[in-house]
Amino acid sequence: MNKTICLLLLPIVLLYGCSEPIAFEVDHNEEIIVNGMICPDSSISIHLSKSIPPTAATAFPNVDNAQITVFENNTEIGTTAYRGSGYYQLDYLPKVNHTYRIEVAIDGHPTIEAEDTVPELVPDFTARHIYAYDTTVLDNGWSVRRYQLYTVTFETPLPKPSWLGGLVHAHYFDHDSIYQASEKYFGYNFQSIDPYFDQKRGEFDSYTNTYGYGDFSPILPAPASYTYAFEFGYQTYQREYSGRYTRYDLTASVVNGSTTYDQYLQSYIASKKYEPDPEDWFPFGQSTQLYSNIKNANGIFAAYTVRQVAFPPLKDEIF
Amino acid sequence: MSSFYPTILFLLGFSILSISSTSAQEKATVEGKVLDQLSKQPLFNVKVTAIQSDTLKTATDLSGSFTLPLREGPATILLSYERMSRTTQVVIRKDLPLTLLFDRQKELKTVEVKGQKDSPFHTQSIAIERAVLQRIPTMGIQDPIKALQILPGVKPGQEGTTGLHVRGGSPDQTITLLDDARLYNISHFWGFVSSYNEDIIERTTLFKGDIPAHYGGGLSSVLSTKSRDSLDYRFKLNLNPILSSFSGQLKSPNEKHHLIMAGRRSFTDVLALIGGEGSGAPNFLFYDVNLKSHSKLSSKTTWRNHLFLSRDRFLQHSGNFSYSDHRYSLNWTNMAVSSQWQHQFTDEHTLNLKAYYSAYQNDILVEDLSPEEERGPDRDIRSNIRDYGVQIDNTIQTTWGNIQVGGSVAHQELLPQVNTFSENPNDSLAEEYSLSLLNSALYVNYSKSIGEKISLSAGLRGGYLHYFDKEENDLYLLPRVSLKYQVNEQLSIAPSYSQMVQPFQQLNNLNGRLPLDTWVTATDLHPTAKATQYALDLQYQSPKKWEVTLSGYYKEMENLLAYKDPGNTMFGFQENWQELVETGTGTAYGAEILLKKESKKWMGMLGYTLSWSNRQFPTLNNGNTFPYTFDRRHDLSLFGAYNFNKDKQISFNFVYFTGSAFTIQDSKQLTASLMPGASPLESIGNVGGINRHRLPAYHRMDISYQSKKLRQRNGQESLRTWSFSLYNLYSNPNPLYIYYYNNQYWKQSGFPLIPMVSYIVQF
Repeated sequence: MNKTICLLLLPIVLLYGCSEPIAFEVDHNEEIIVNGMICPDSSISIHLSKSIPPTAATAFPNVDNAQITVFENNTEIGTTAYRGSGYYQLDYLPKVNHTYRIEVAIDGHPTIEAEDTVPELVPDFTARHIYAYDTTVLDNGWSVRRYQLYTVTFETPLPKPSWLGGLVHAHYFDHDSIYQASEKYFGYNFQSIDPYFDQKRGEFDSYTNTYGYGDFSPILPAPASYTYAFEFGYQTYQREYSGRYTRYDLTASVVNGSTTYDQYLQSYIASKKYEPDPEDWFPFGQSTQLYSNIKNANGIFAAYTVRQVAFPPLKDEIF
Repeated sequence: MSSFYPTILFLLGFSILSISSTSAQEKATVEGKVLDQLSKQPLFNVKVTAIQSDTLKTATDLSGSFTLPLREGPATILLSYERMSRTTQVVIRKDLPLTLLFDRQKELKTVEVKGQKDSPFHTQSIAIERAVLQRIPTMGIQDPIKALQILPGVKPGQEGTTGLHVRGGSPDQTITLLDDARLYNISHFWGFVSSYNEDIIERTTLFKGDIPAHYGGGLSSVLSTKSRDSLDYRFKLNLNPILSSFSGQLKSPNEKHHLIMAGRRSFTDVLALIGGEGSGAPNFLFYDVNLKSHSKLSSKTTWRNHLFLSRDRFLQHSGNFSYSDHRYSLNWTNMAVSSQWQHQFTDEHTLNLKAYYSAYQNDILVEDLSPEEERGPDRDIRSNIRDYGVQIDNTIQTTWGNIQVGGSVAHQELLPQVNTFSENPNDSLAEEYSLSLLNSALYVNYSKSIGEKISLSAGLRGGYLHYFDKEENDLYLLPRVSLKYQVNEQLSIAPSYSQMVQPFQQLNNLNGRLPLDTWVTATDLHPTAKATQYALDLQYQSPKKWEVTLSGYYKEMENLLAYKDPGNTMFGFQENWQELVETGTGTAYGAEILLKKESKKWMGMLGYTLSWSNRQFPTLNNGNTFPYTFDRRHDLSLFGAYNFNKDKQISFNFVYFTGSAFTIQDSKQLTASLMPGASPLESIGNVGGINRHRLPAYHRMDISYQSKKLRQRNGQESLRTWSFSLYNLYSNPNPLYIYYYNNQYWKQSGFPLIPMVSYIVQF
């Protein structure tokens, strides 16, 4: 709706003017992009590539001639091995509360550096599915928006703000055989009025009186044992899948990110939210900048811990 | 950095003060001023002819001032203004300035000779008189705001808008006043034309530097417009296909009471109806009304009342861009009512009492026109601002200087973008989200001439800001000083220093494209905005009637507001708005040059500004300084007018300025998986820095031709004027913005060539 209102404003802005394609040259500086998200559950993996202009149709060039040295609490623990396709790996599991630094040496390029500290794991939690309900039939009966209420309960309070995310795995069955499977994050159909969701990072919808969140929803520490409640809505195509079974498997992940991880995630969410969509004309959108903690390059090297709990399987649904 | 530029400016200023003056002249240089008899406002471009043993001629400048080398003794002064001439006899005394009051209805009957140079001066101000306004071609509609925008240091944000970006500030940092009542949106049709009806305007003054202590509330500048007390015609009709207007005057038989009525209406809604309502064509209507009364209650007492109403309504069906059937209406309403009681106790003491009410409302209404069973709720996004205030001003002339002293109290209430639905109308939100402020201030301003060469204006404004939504209230004291040193007859130098505070600001996203009216007051988290400005003026007046003004300025701003996410628009006010924004700082500095030349037939003006305006916020641009969206490195304007004779005139203006700064994706990169189980790497767009790119430079030329004819029929005179103008003469497709769509960049252009014709009849 907001977007529609923005578009409504356009005729005024455009009344007498015109829009035409132009050969605009963006001032693109090719940069080395470091991507390294480390957590105690997997060995240290760093990806090196180069940025490309936004209109380029080419693949991202990988950097395959680098030497990456990894330090733990300022002590060298090894050098990564190149695994191909821009990936460098060190078979070493990071430890909680330890600080990791990487030094990347590439011929003809200043040494690239970054560091971060692995935070604590969040306390254990349980995940439950409460109920489902259907809302307004849209598009002349072509689809139904189905909302499910879920909860995650922490018996021990969270030590600091964390991120709730998750994966949805959808299975469609046609005459008892699998028809299609898809996987995605919790999307923008994630909403809550729970006060311990960080409402200042949510987008308030006055109509439903709820806050909407993106793929990663910020949750705040509660003073004691607490059950975080949220709804996740998805759209099913009634006619297309009529007579078929659909099953959704959901996994809840609660991430405790370092400060660097938090800043990057916030900038990532903003960037996704306001990114100009090449398929959808919306000239009021404005790109935002991704946070980076990499010296002499761009990208991110951040640490996190994650605890994942699967929601009990839902009963099969039939339309 | 913060103290470097002010130091340089003041060192430069005071070093030039030490330059010795030129030798004495044979004749005394008499300074004079021509004021309107009723309004006491300076009159521009009054031809002044002094007849002694020889005849000398000159004309008044924008401040109504003139100088003539005259001998002591009697002289006859002939003043010619518009179509009127007045004569009077005066006695010239060395170094005593003349103040001539020009009565438009009767003879020039009063000549005052004052013992002091009595007017406080403000070197960093620009005044636009009607006489000048009528000569500037601006889309066929004379508009003081558009006229101001071609002057150095003042720029529109985007083409066709009436927002004023003064010396690197945003439009909300300019306080716009109509007869001292504040207006919050002075635009019609989103800036195509301002809400000021030129027929009722006496004078528009923009204070961009040494802002008098009388004014407060904005960091950048004050735009003060005074309406006319009377018209020099009975009725005027302006027929223009876009915007037609009328103005007329009623007066009592004893001519002590005047009532001016003026109105304008657009015909864009009529044009839209040609296409039919269902065609999806936008339907736009705007109008404004002015009612002004002026009563001379006694020889010493005057009472003025002004009602101003301005409204825009825009309607459109959603058919063109949505599958659903919605009707959108956008409405802007401005209203200001002011009443002023003026009493002259003595020749030296005048008291002004003013009361005003100002209201501004912006509504975005979305109605669902679907069949009842499918109909969703209507949505209303509403913003409004209400001001109530009283003000007292005393002007006291003494032998040891002139004093202006007074104070004001205003209650200001803001309702920023409250979002309600017809199914759930929640008017309590209005109370919950409203932000209120009691804004009170006292001021004193002292001006004096010290010897023959130095003039001083020093002011102090102190105030108390009581925020109803803030635990700690603000007490402030703002010094303002300006000094003028007349190095010699031609050259003067004037340094100035001023401090300003701004209790509420307008929130907008950094691309500045979406004109949403979200105003918010200061809070405990986001304190009152402050600014300090240092400026220096050098003015040179050639004996050959050309004049150069060179100005330098440096401005620091604190506690500016910006969204943390630059793309945010905050449709519908959010309780957590304070978390969505952050406070930062800004600096603006630059040099302006204005060259003016006037002859009997020609009037020309060349302005150039070299400027920088930057912002810095804790998280935006990773905390690094970045250019303000309307940072304009170069800004050139050229204006010329030529009178073929007294009835025919051609004029043109040319503007060129550096394109606005903007943010656009300038790279793609891979980003890491943020969580186990997700796809390992994905492509994401990134920007190398906020406002790192520039739109192409903007330039255009406008031209206008005006022909007047005085007719007499049945013993009655009428003046008929044809006006033809061409906006953007060579139809340059100036960019408004650039965006990325369908894998390529697109440029949205502004107005192409627009021809305009208007016919004015005046009785």
